[in-house]
Amino acid sequence: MPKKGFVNDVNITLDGDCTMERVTDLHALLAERCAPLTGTPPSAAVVHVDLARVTGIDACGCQLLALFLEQLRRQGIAASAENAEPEIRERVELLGFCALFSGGQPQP
Amino acid sequence: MTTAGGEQSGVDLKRFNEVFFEECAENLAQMEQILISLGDREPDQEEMNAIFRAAHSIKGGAGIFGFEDMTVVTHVMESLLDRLRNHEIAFAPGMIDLFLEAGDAIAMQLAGHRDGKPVQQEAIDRVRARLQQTIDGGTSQASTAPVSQTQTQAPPAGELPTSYRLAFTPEPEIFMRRVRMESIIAELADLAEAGTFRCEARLAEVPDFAGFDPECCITRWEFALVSRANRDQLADVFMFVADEDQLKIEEQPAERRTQAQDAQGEPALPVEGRRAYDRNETAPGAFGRRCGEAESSIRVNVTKVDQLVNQVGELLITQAMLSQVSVGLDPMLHQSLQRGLAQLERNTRDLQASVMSIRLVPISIVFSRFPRLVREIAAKLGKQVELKTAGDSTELDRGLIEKISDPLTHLVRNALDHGLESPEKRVAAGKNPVGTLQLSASQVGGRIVIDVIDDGAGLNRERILAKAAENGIPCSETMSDEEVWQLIFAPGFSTASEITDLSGRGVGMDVVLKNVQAIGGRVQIASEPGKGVRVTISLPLTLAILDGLSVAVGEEKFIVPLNVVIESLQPKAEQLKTVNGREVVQVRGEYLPILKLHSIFNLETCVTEPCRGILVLVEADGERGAVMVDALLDEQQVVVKSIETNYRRVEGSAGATILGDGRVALILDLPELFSMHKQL
Amino acid sequence: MQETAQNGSEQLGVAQAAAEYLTFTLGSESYGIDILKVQEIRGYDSVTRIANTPAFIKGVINLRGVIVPIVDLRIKFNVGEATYHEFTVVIIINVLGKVVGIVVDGVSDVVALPRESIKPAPELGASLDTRYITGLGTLNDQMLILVDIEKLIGSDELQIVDSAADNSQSEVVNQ
Repeated sequence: MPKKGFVNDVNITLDGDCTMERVTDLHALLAERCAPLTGTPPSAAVVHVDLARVTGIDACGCQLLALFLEQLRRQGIAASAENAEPEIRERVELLGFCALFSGGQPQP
Repeated sequence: MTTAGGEQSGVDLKRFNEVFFEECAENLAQMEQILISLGDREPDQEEMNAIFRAAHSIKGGAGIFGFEDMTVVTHVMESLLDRLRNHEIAFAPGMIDLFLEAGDAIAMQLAGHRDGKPVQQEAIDRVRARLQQTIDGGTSQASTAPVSQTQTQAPPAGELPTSYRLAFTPEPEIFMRRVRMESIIAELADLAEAGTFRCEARLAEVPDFAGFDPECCITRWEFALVSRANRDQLADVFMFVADEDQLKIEEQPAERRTQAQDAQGEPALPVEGRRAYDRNETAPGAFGRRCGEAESSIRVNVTKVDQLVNQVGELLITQAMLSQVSVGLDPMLHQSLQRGLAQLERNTRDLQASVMSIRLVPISIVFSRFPRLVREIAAKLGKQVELKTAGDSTELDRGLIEKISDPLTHLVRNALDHGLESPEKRVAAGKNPVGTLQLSASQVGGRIVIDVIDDGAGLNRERILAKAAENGIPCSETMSDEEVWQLIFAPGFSTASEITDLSGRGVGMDVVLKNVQAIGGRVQIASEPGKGVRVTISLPLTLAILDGLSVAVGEEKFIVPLNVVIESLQPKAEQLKTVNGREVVQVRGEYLPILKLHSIFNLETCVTEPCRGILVLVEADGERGAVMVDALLDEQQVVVKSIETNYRRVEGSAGATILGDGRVALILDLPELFSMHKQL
Repeated sequence: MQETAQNGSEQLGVAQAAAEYLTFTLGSESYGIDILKVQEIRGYDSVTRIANTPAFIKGVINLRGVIVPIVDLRIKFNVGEATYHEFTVVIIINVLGKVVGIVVDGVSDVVALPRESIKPAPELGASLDTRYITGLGTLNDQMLILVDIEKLIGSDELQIVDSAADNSQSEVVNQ
């Protein structure tokens, strides 16, 4: 189960696996966080998703995180996901999501 | 991480796994087919590539769907094939058998995953070890050959790397299919020259987060790499997850112009590009092209097809109902209605034929297993056999295919074991030492006819008669040849002394006959001494529709399957006898028991005496009898319906059908009627 | 989120408080079956008899291409008069994955019975075995016997469902 970690306005810590098997829970969790953030005006200027406690990730999980971050960016929020363990970072890199996690859509 | 294809799989996942299982089975079959066709010959480049490709796709698919165990044997096999292909190891005839065994091991694992069948891990380990030994032994022998250290299919040195860009637009369900993108991307990265691989994921859209289905894939991938692999090898990485239009591969023309491109005079376009390699089949590493049919066919769940077949069956009944109603109408007054109904009838028949054709599959599916069987049995028996097949593309109902393969296998074993002689005997008889076994299929009228023909010694009339007499089967010297041949179908004809390791197995020809009859088929035998035997199986085109004779008993109607009917007659008083208190009818010197349907089924009718009714002579399971009915009504095709769907099994019936008037009629199960009759 | 959840449970509460029953008569008694188990009501068509079955199995009919057995409960429970005419009613039941028709004397109405008005069935009194009765309801001062139709259809007594797939053969022989 991905659990909500320390919740405050700008830091979201994810815990456990971010994979297809748990993506529904993850989605519900992030959707809950997304709603207040994307109000007008947005309630924060910067949001960090902390991946330090993520133990596994796949393409489906990456996509969901990327979409979450992208949605926030559309609201003018500087959103990024970081702090992943080397193994997780490697996986994110392999899957090609680095750009989406750090700054936004890569240039085609 | 949980394994994607493992035990947690839900129903949906199983559905997707099914696609892999099917493709895996097809790949195995294709591989086996090629291996068998080789005999002991060394495979040519194209064949080698095709075998490699099959093994490679199995490995890839198994990896993607999480069946890690299946990748083990395929991986070693692939490595060996790769070295063979690159002439790092010399081919040896024994490798064919080794590959066949490897195929068996993989098939066993497949069956384990698909049907939960037991898997003998020792056998798998053994094959894997032997493959590895062959690799190690072969590589060390070939001292001049460069030892490839890379695990994947490293293309031979000398081929300059090409720079590629790939764009992959997956289907939205790809996550739900539990496809592991990381495996695919890792595989692609392996093909890249060190440090050249780039992967970029992009979101095709940014939908509202709260309403987004998190399992739906909206990611697009773009890859850039420099690789020695060709376009097809790159495309193969995606073969389980991408259709033609979901993957675009571009070569960067700046890097280098390949020979093929020079020939074409322009850089290859993403779609047509593959042709460049197709033309150049001898290009190192060129794989056999992807099966062309895949592009023009779709996979559909069998239950959907069955549903369609059922619905057309309903339509057929409704149409028959309407026709029946219209009979009573004045043709002058209802001319246009009648014309419309006639048109409806034609349309319905056409539709039925089209729908039935969906269920049809070529008999080559069954035939293709025999080359190997024949090869093995012939080797065991020390016989030389050439197997010929004809009419491989003859199509029959999928349900029949499953049920015909056992009887056919039995007949083939029989022909090899008892039919064909040893080479010495053949030479002594002035024949070619190599015997011929021919399997041929064709469609004749509304039936499928399958022949199993051998050019062996033929059936021995005296021996069959002696054996029949020995086993208490009624027979006489005056019987015609045809009648004598039929004796081998009698239950109990096949005796212990005849049971060999091969064709015996405790069952005889009676089982073949029974199985064939169970699917509405017939078996005939023709034999000529010294020339051989021809066994002919004739089957209906489909299981869902049956040719029947409708008969009336009192208020009820029944369907007698036409394939058991010999003839019908109105008996004369002098033909009727009583034997041990049982009524029998004498037909051409034979006494047949009279099965009175009304008394078996407890029905009221005014026809209780055989000479006032009609006797339908039937034969089923080698047993003959005369079914007594009030009247014969019609010969018609009926749609077979299950009674068991909503009710229990009904004794004496093999299902039911709905007649033109909308009423239900039972289809008679003759073997069961015989036993019910005996209990009366 | 929370609001909808509460609404949902309220609806559930309503559904649990009262259930709808199709009422029919057998002889002088009124019966009720769970309306959700009823597929349709139709007239009695000519049936195709099935040999060697008890008298209450009238046979099978063609219900839009599906073969459906017909059970005459009047014969089974020895009530009313087993006559067949244009007003004879067949209730098509869909339970246990099977579609079965039952013949009754007449269909009366669909009624909603509050859960609390349903009393447990006494041991004796109805033509139907207590095993198949879920309770007794009262409707306009009339007693309504509530039938567990699923249990009844699935019972060995009716012999509609093979008790075990494998011994169907021997069962038939034993009869």
